[in-house]
Amino acid sequence: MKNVFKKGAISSEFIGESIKKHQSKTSIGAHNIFLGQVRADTIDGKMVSAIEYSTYEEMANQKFHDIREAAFEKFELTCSHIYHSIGKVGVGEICLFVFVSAPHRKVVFEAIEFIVEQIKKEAPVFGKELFEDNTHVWKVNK
Amino acid sequence: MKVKILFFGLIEEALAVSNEEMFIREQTSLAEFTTSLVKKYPILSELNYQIAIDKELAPTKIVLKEGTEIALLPPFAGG
Repeated sequence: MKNVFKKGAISSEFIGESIKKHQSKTSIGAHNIFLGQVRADTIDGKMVSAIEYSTYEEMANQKFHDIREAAFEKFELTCSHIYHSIGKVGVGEICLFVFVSAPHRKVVFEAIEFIVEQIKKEAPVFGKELFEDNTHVWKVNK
Repeated sequence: MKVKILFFGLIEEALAVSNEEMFIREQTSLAEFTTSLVKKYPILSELNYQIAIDKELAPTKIVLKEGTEIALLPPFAGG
């Protein structure tokens, strides 16, 4: 089972390298990328400074695998990749990187939305929103 | 028989425990198990969670087996 989790923020270098790696796959004509970024929400007058992610890793990796499989069944994709942060990610940093590729453009728009929505709904990932004063609240996906 | 219980996120924090093993009688359903767990940790009745059995979200009528892994999952926040 592929491990989707990366410690800390997902760097722009890593994202750039991922794009570069796909240039040898010449049947691809369209990529689409979704990047989740940690937002500086204000909750009860306090601003979020980071999110600390934790997970039920074995179940989550299985779930991410199932989501990718479902995407391949539904859409004509050449490849699809998911990376999610674990541990602390500061505001403005990337915590989710979804990357889909296909011969033609239409399916990549639909596929990326499908994958991201499934992740939000199905993946057992938990997030603690940390404030500057060391207090926290638990985040819930809407 | 013995089952393994895992607690995550908000639940882990509220109970101040991340995992434990518990002895239960044969043929215990998930619903019966949950009732006894809430007796041990009354705060669970105030918290929102789903239960996964061996890494799958499970119906409450399911019967537990020796070595089953029971996970209490608070609301998801991935992405």
